[in-house]
Amino acid sequence: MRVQLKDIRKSYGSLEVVKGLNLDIAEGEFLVLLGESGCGKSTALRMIAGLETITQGSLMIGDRDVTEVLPKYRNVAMVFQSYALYPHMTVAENIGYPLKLQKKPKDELKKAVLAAAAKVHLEDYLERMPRQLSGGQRQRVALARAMVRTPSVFLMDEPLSNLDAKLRGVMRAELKRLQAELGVTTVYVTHDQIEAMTLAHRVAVMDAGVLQQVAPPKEIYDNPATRFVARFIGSPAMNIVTGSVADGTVAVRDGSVPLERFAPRERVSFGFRPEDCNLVAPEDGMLKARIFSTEMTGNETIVTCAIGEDHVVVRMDKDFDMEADELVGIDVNPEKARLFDYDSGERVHA
Amino acid sequence: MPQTQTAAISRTEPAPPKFGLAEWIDQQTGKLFVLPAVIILLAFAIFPLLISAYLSLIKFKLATGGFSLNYVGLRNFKKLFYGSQQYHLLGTFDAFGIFEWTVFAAALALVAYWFFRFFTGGYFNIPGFIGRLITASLFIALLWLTLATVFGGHPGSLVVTLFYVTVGVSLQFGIGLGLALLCGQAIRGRNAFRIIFFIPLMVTPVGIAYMFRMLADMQRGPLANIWQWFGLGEFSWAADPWSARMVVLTGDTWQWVPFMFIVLLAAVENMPRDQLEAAKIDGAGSWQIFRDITWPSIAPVAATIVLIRLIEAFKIIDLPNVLTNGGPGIATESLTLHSFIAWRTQDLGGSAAVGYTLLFVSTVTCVSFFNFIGQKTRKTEA
Amino acid sequence: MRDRSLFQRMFEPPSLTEMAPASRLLTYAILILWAIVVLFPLYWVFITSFKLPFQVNDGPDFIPFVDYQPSGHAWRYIFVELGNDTLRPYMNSVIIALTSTVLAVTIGSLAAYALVRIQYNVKIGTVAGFIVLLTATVFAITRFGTPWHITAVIALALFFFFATSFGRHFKRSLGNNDILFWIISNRILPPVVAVLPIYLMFQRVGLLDTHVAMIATYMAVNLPIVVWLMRDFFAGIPIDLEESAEIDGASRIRIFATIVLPLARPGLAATFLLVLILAWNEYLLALFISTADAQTMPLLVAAQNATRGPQWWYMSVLIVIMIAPIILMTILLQKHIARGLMVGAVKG
Repeated sequence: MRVQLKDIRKSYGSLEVVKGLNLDIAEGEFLVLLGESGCGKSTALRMIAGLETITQGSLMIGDRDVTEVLPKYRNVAMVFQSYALYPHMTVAENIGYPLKLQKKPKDELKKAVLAAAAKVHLEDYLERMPRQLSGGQRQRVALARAMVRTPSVFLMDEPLSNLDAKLRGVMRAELKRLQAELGVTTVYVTHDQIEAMTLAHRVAVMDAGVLQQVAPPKEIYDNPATRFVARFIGSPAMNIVTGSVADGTVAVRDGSVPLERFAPRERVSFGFRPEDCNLVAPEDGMLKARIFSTEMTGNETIVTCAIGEDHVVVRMDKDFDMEADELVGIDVNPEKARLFDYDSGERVHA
Repeated sequence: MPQTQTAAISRTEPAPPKFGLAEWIDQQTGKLFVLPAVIILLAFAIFPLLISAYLSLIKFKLATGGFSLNYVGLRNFKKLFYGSQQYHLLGTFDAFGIFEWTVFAAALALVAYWFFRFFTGGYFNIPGFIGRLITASLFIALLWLTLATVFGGHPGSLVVTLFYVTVGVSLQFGIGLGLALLCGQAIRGRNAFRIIFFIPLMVTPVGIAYMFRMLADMQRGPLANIWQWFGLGEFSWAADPWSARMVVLTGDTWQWVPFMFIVLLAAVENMPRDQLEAAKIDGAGSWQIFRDITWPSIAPVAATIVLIRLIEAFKIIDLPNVLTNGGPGIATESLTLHSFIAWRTQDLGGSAAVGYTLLFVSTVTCVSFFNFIGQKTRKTEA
Repeated sequence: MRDRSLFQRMFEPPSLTEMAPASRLLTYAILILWAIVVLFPLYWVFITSFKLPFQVNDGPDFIPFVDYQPSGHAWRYIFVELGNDTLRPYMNSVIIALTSTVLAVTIGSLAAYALVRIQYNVKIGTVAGFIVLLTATVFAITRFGTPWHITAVIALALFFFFATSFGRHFKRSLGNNDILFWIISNRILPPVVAVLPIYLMFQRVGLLDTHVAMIATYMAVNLPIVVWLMRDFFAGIPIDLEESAEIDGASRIRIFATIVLPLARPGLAATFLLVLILAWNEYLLALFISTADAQTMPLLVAAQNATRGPQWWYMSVLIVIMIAPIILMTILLQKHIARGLMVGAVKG
């Protein structure tokens, strides 16, 4: 079902943690709310669930205004970071609990529990207690419990963050497939950009209670709307160097990059991704730098260079073999470089 | 989209909120949950408190076909504080000697220093000042009373209660802490000790009172031979005020050491091991370890349990009533027992007045302890 | 380190986690001494209950079968000859302690849970209005002798009027912590202050010396402890569980009954045991409220003072049957009871 947040705000006393959130989530869409901890993303999710009151603004689920409706009448399902499994109930009882509350007949309930358990491959564990399950299995129980009553919206609050890295990858894939199969609108909160990029139809990046950008993953990566998004998405992060634009070039400390499209500017944040630049001989490079450290990760080498006080990260292939403190030049691909206003952090377009 | 099995359950359209009886009850849960407790406490604590306040201002008389209540103002309190019942509540006074004056002067100096620190500490505020004033006044008044009655005169029920509270709680805390520290070490049989040491706390105080009466019997009790060896075979502890009080105190201590012990042991066991080991590696002695590591980490717990004990200790009645019947004379009477005896003799007003005196003294003491000592230990924790 | 002197071996700990033999010895000596201090009085009462009068009067005998020949005559006397005079107070104690504990734990848990999870805002004006009216009611009844039911109804009506009109205009309000503090602070109130009016109250309604009066009073005095302890146990339950159930459509009461209570079972057990023992041991309130019919064990035992004087063989039997169940419970369930104490004391 379509979910619309219209200028939603949340304050605790004088502290405003969500500052006017506008989101229009389409039916069947997988939307990921991404941001650092404390940015208000969880609060936003909890407002959709009804666990937090909405200070201002309105919330629509489908055609219904649910701004002041109690959680139990919103027909949403939520998966918690801690899974929130009831430790005194078996897996089957856990999964069936929402239906039991709806007073579904016993046989129907049983069938639905089996079906939901089958979706997450838990058929053989129905009589176990949650404490007898591994982390990944608990996660599946939580998912099954959310799916069992086919809600209008799935809400997920960092559901994978308690799993180890390997399992997280597996669950991510399963989650994506499940969501596509069920076609239920999903709002998913995470601080992990990889999860956001891999799962989402659209990613909504939040910072300090303000929505920074809502866009498909590729768009977010290629065309970040603000310096915050640019720094936040991508690993290693986008390099940001302070400089000025004049005569079709960006002048930074120890060099300049030709960028003909842009109007002159006093101070800008000049950004380029580690894969959009290259290390060359010192005299050939657009920027002069000194190698600070190199990290071989197996399939590539992450080279950190120092330009004065600033650090710039360059992605090189695995055979890169220069030592720290050697002088180098950095070539930047002007096509892929991005400019942001130094003060506001907003993207500067040509 | 592939048809899924879960779709077998018809997708429920969001049900509009139903406003039936169940819904109304759900909305009112907050009130329904709290109300019974609040009503019970109003009926059994606040309401009686008010009635008691009124009772302390009346004189109760049995009259033909019932009783009569006459409003007498503060006369009940007057009688207790400087009237015919003064000996009972406060005691009989003796003139101060050099010792008493020295102690009293020292205490005054201490209080003065305390206020000096408060004035110059930069945290001065009016409520804090008034609070300290009340604490200090009560402290000085009680100290004066103690000095005037304990060494020469005869202490009344107020001083005796204070004796049970201060000496009793200190003893219990000291012994409990000592045992907890010993038991907190890496020794075998810790669990057995823990269970054994815990028992007295749960034993009915009335039973304890008789137990200690039997044990303290100097002719037929288990320690009779020891008393005889000391030449005390014919001594009767029940006839001597101080020995009678000590027996009461012993029974009380026997009962309450376990409380201190069990909680402090938990606190000691919860201490971070690595800190201890780091200190040992650095060559700290046992006393230094206790002072610098153990004590700071258990101080908040210690303050809390002392506070709990203070609150309960002021209420003591079972032991003095059963062990000594308050005697010899009024020597072992606590305030609660005093109040009970007044009630038994149909002096409802006097009984309520004693009760209110107890309420005042115990509340001010406990609040003072919490504010001026308890809070400090929390600060060191942070 | 191999060639340490005897002195060193005695007084220096061999490693960081072990104790020196000398201090280990001292530790055990003190602990065992205290264990004797704890156990001996109990032992003495127990063996005295099997002594004959002349065995008691002749001075201390310590070991049954060696120092003296144990006899069950005191037990026979207490159970057979006194029979109902012993059993009735015993049953009273059982009934009153159990019922009052069940009630206190139920009502206290509800309040504690609500105070942990539901936000309250009580306007100070409402509270002030209530206190003023209550005082006025008490004053009117006691000073002017107005009939108490009429006064109470008028006061209640006035209160609701006040609460719904003026009361709302006061800005300052009391939150959950204030209510909690108020409930718990009732524990500071010395029972002797409250028991006089409670006595009069029950006298008025003719319930003095009944089970109902005793149960109600015991429940009331133990309520603050229940709230205090259960608050911590409830606060320890992850809120996610309750929120999850809430989203899934459970009502508050349902969440409380199906999620919270089962998870708080250890806490409930600890609180229940502690309060049960407190109620079992209670003496002062029983002294005021019960005289004969509702008399409890502590009263019966205490009364022996007057009737039997130093007939310790009989009194020992009574004490043993009074404290034996508690001691058994303590030994078997020490962990649970101690947990109750600990939560209350450590978190304050």
